[in-house]
Order: sequence, then structure tokens, then C-alpha cells
Amino acid sequence: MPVDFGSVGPEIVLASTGMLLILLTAFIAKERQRPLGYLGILGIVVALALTWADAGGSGTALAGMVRLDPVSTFFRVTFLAAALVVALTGLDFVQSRGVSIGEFYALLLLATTGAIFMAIAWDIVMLYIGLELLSILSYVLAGFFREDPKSNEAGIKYFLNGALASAVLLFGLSLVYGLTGTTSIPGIAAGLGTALHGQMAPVALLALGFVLGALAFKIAAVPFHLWAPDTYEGAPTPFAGFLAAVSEGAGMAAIIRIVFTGMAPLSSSFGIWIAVLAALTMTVGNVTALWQNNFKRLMAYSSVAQVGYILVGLAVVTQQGLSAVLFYLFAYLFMTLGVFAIIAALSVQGQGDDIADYAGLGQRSPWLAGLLTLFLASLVGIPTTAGFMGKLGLFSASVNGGYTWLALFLAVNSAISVGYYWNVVRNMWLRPAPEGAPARVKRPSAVMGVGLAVAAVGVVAIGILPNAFYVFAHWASFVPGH
Amino acid sequence: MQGFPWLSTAIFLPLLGALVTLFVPEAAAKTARAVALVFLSLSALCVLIIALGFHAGQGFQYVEQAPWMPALHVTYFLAVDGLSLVMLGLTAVIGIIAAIAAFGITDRVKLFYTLFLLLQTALLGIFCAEDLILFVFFFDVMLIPMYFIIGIWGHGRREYSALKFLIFTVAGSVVMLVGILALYFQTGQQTFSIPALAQLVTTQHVPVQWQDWIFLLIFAGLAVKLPVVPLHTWLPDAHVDAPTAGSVVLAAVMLKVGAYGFIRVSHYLLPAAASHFAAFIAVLGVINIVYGALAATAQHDFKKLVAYSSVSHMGFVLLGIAAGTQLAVTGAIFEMVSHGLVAGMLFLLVGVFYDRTHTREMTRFGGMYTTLGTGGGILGFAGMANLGLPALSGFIGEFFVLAGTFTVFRIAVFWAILGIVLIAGYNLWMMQKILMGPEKEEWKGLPRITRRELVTLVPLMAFCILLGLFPASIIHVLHGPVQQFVAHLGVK
Repeated sequence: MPVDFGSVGPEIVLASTGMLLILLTAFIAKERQRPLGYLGILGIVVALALTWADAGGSGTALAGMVRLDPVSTFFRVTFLAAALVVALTGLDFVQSRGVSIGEFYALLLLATTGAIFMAIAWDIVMLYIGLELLSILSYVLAGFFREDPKSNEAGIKYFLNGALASAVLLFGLSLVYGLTGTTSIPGIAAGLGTALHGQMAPVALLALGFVLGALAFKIAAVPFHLWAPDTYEGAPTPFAGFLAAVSEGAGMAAIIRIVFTGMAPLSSSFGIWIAVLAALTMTVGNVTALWQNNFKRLMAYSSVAQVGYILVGLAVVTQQGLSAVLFYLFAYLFMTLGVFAIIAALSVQGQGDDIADYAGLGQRSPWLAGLLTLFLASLVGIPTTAGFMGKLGLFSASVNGGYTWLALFLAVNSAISVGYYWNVVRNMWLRPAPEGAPARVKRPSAVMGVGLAVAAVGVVAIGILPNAFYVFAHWASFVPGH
Repeated sequence: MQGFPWLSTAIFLPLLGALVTLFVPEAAAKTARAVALVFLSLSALCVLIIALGFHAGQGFQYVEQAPWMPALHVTYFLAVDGLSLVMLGLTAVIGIIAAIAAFGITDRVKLFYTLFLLLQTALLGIFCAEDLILFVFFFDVMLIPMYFIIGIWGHGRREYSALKFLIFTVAGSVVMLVGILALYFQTGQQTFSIPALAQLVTTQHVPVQWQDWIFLLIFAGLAVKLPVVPLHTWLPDAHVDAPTAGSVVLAAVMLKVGAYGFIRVSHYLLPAAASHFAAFIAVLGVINIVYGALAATAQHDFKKLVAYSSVSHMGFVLLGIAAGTQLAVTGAIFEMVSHGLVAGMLFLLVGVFYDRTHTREMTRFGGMYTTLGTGGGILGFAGMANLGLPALSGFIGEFFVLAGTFTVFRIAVFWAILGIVLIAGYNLWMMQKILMGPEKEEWKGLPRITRRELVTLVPLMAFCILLGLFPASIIHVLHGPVQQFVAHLGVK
């Protein structure tokens, strides 16, 4: 059978740029690897351009292992855009820590490739390979600063928990295979339909539980979130942003592919499970975040809470819900990566990651403080930002889908979240700078500036003129099986 | 029939001013003040032009409608009727006065005016928004600048008060948003337009079992803003700790957003539920009046007294809306405007006294009438206006509310009259403690009231007298919208 490589062009570009970077790393000294960072950025931009050119594609490729449909295009765009912002805003940070830029960017690009394969997979084997590619590289990236014990801890913790989750997922998938005799996602959907009418219904539910549990780990949903705070805190800051924007998004994509399409016959069961998971996740995430002193840990709990919000859209199991999920994922990448970018920008200048270190930032650097306020306002869901429009979609989907109680949960949680996001804002604007802090923060470099501008423009554009993005998410939300 | 977009111009001129202010050098405080004042005045001029071209009794005018989020059926929809126009006028006037009152601020002036102008845009916008999502949009946008105004330039426990204000109002607004979305999906007409939804009222648009719940959600969200006791606890903190200009805008304009929302959204779009809960809301109104007045009576702090006095006066507004008669609703709206003027004046005066003495302890004052002369006289005027002296604006509003409510909730009126006695009591005590008595040694030689302070106070006094003597000027404009509102409430 001829293999149609053209349809996975973006992934090929990403993977080969990644491998080229590894190769070049062998010949270029660590101190002179900044151009390799630019090369990585270029690779992402080319992949993005190819995705754009190929957006109308449909059908399957690679012998039925991947599927090209609007969902695929959507996740490609989302992950590539996220990787682009991470790459732009991470360059200075990685350089400042004296590690190999080439290696970091190679791993970043390959991990993104894995995430995309999870999202475009049309076969559970391909999905699992994508997941492992993303996961294993993520363990390495989390522990990338070999000299830093916190980074080591982040890597090990993520690895131990992640390996367990992978095994659980594999077990769930093996049950699915046992029930249906196929690894193809549409085949599973057809097979499960028959299995449910026989004696095997309990096994199908068990498989659903295992798969959902394992993916809940990937997206850091409560109670599978315990790895997140330590990993976010210790991991290199740009990679922590990657975890929040890409890794979580890939988990969501996998849920959409396996659970929503593959296990569509079980759809009457999983709605309420996901709803409970959503309520639990956002509440625990938000309440725990209130007590954090470290900004990166705070952002870990914030991402837990945000996953809870996103799960609301999945819980209603409607097309409107999926559309809201996709819209929110896209909006979320700009706001959360914006926050991590600013943490990175300040950390390059020697500032600590504690919230107290942000005191007086409004006077030391009004622009950075202003941008950070914008991103945090977006995470809260204040209008003129992407977060408000995202929440509007989630609220609509849950109210319309008969989950008004969940919408009220979301409402109360939004109010709670003001408490900790605004703790940072309060430090920046309402408190004087700590003793010994430099009077002015230096301007970030041009690359960082471009990255911050992309994030800020994304947040404001989606927040004020969201229609095009709603149309995009709506277009992508016609998921097979629903 | 879309002519020049006067409403958008009025709303977004302050925003443009905010952007211009961003580029004023940090040190040039005078320039920042001038820029703010120019843009606020231009915006007020637009409001004046709108008012001059307004035809009372012709429903919504200056309509601007454009698709905003067609995918969600959300439109950019602005229009004014008599009610909106009155609120716009109040907002524009208070905006300028508060901006002048804030000339005393010397710290981070540029940031202050940037935020202040942003706040003005949101406030003007909310009174013209005829699309529910646009309404929520402006409703939330105004929180952020106010948070910073309290938090950066406030006094006392400013961090705590600012955060409390933000959390309470965000909680209210998201709950309201859930209610609005429930309304949208229950009507199933794919529109957030307030006039369009209002037309559906007669056709039992929302299933009865849903109406009450949706109403309660929207009402609760707005009740935080008004504020309705027991959701009021953010108010004394925020009003007391805010800088003078912030307190003025909070009390004079922002509180009215809650009442405006009742008239425009919750009661207007869900009249059946509103009449179910009318008695309950009337009781809440009376509690507001009596509790607010009692709490004000117990205060030693001048500013806290004014803050609780706002709670009390908002009770009249709530009572009038609950009664739902032509007279009572007109009175409620009149009271909104009047309280805007009087509370603005009182907070300005708190500022005048505090700037000179650095205390707000009323027992430490005394003999101020002798010490400050004109300043003391103006406080006497404001106190009289606050207690509802006939010939001043406060009297008309309260009298109309009580007269209009009497036919509906007779017992509530008796309790409200008790409240009026208390209101008279604390205002007289306040004036007695601050103004009367022999001149105190420690305050001798305090500077007289300045020209700038007079510029902020005298217009408010003038409006207060004008509205007291010629209430018909705005009642005339309000007649149409109120009639329509009352007719809606009559639809069961």
C-alpha cells in the first residue's frame, strides 16, 4: 500500500527539524547554540504554514493510522501555536541557564510531534505511540537542568507517575482490544456497540474507567493531579508552560479521539463521570491554589482548575460542548503561556519565582506587569480577554446541555480563582518593591518580545473579536461519532 | 436609520483618552490631568448632544446595532431611552467632577487617569447596552479599574477592601451570566437583545418552573451591586477605603448599575417571577432602609456613615421597584439620580474635611461651621439633602416611592417611614457633631475651602436644587420607559 507522506507534512517537518537539531548539537558548542533555537522556531513556523495550506484535507493517511479532519487541523494549529510561543519566549531562559539550546529545542519539537500524533490518531496503537513520544520526552524536559535538584525531582516524579498512567492506559486499551478485536478507532466504535448488547457491558465500562483515569493523569485532573505542583515548580519554566498548553491539550485530544469517538456507544455513561471529575478538579485546583507562595506552583494548580473548566464542555457530551472545549483550549494557550513567558523573562534577570518577588513590579516594569495583569485577568475570565469568551462558551454549553448545576460550580469557582490570581496582581501594583530589587527591570530581548506580543495579541483579539475563533472551533467540533 | 454613532463616540472617547494618557510621560502629572479632563468633557458633550436630540416618549433612540459574535447571536447593540439617558447624564457629570476631585492625587497620576478613563467607558457603556452579553461585558470591565483605584490610592485596609469588592462583584456577575444564559436557552429565540426578549414576555416565553430560578440568579448577581443586605458587606469597606474620587464614582454611579439592572433586565424580562417575589423584595428593601439607617446611626467614622447611608437609600430604590407602580418606579429612578448627587457631594465633603484634619472621627470635629465657613455651610446643605428636605432632590424620590408603594405594600411603607425618622436622626447628629458647638482649638486656622473644591461641589448643589424644584424635567423623560416597565410587570 502506498504511504501518503504528504498528508503528515507538518509532522515530518517538525520531527526532521528536531532530529537535525540533535545532529547539529554535536558540532556546535553550548555557548554558540542560539541559532539552533532560531532554527527550531523556523521549523515550527514552516509546520504551521503547511498546516494552514493543508487545512481543508480530509480522509485517513499512513494506512489508516491517522485521520485528517477538522479536529486534526484544529489541534495541529493549537499545538504548533503553543510550541511557537514556548520556543519564542523560552530562548533567553534556556540560554541563561547554560544548557544546550539545541537539545532543548530538539526535545521540544519532537514532544510536540508526539502531541500532534495523539490528536490525529485514528488507531489506538498510533495514539499510544504519540502519547509515549510526548511523555518520555516530557520526563527528560522536566528534568532538563541536571545540576538542579528541583528539576531532577520534577523529572523523576513525573516519570514515576507517568509510567504508571501509561500502564493503566495500556491495560484499558487491551480490554478494548479484547472486546472488539481491533485497534482501529472506528472499528472499536462499531465493535463496542455490539459488545454492549451482550454480556460484556461491565468490561466495557471497566475499560472506559481505565482509559479515562489514565488520561485524567495526563491532563492533571483531580485526583490524578498530585504530580503537577512539584513538576511545574521544578521543571524549566518554558517547559512548564508547554505542559499546561500542549500536554494537557493532547490529553484532551486523546479523550476526544478514544472516548468520544471510539467509545461513542458508551456516551450515555461517561457524561456524568466527566461532570463529577470536572467539579472535583476545578474546586480542588482553585482552593489549593489559594495557599501557594510560589508562582509556578500556583500556575500548576491554576492549570488543574482550568482543566476542570474545560472538562465541563466534555461532560455535556454535545457538539456545542466540544466546540466550547476547543475554543477554550485555543484561548487558554495564549493566556497561560503568556504568564509562563513573563515568569521566564523575569527569572532570566535573576528574579525569584515566589509571588513575593513580584512586589512592586508595576513600578519596576509597567509593561511586563501590565501584560501579566492582562494574562491573569484572562485566566479569571474578565471581559476584553480571551478567558471571558472561553468561559462564555463553556457556560452556554453547560446551561444548554442540562448541566446548570455544573455551570454554577464554574461560576463559584471563577469567583474563588480571583483570590489567588489577584494575589499576584496585588503584589505587582499595590506593594512596594522588596529591598535590594533592581529599580528597573531590563527590557526583554526581541525574541521574547515577539513571543509576548503573540500571546498578548491572541488574548485581546480573542477577547474582543472572538467570532472568527468561534467559527473555527465550531467547524472543528464535528467529531466523528457525535 | 443609523446616523452618526453618538453613543459609541461618547462611550469610547474616554477609552481613547486612556490610550493617550498611557503615552504621557510619568512626570507630567498636569498633562495627564488635562488629557483626562478634555476627553471626559468631550464625552460629556456627546451626551449633551444626545440629550438635546432626544425625543421623550419615542422609545429607544440613537440605535446602533452591528453583528459582534454572529456565531453566538451576540450583537453590538446600543440605544438610549429616557432611563438610559438620565443615567448617562449622571455618569458624565460625576465623571468630570470626580476627575477634578482627584487632582489632589500626586502619586502615579498617569496610571490613575488611565484607569479612571477606562472605568468611565465601562460605566457609560453599561447604561446603553441593549444586548445582555454586552451588558455583562461592560459590567465586568468596570471592576478592574475600580479594584486598582481602591487598592493603589486608597486608605486603611485598602488591599483587603479592594479584593473583597472584586470577589463579591465577580461572583455576582458570573451568577448573573449563568442566569442570562439560562434565559437565552429557555426562550430559544437565539437573541440576547433586551427589546426583542421583552417583546416575548407576553407569550409565556420561559417555562414557569424555570422563570423563578432564572430570576433569582440574575437578581442575586445584581443584588451584590446595589447592594441588598446581606450582600452589602463589601460596600462599607470599599467606600471607606477608596480615595475620594473612587468613593464618589462608586456611590454616585456604580451602585446605580444594580438598580438599573433590575429595571432593565431582571424585572423587565421576567415579570412573572418578579411579581412572585415582589413581596420578598419589598421586605429586602425595607431591611435595607432600616438596617442601613441604624448602622449609619451607630457610626463614629464620617465616611462610614455616608457609606451606610447609601445602603439605606438604595433600600428606597429597591422598595420602589418591588412595588412596581408608575409613581413608585419613577420615584426609585429619581432617588437613584438624587442619591448620586447627594452621595457624591457627601463623599467630596468627607474628602474636604479629611484633607484638612486627617481624621474622620466625628467626635473630634466640632464647631466646623465657624472654622470652615462656606465648607461647613455646604456640609449642612448636603446633610439636609440627604435627610430628604423638601425642595431638594432627595425628598421627591423618597416621597414618590412611599406614595407609590402605599397602595401595594402598606406595612412596608410604615417601616420605611421609621427608616426616614432614623435617616433624619443620623444626619442631624452628624451635622451637630461636626458643625455645631464652639470652635475647637486644634482646628483653628484650617485653610478655607479652595476654588477647586467649590468647582466640584457647587454643580452638584445646583443640580440638587434644580431637581428638587423642577422634578418634572426628568420625570418627563422617564415617563415613557417607566410606563412600559410597569405595563410589563402587569403581564402575569
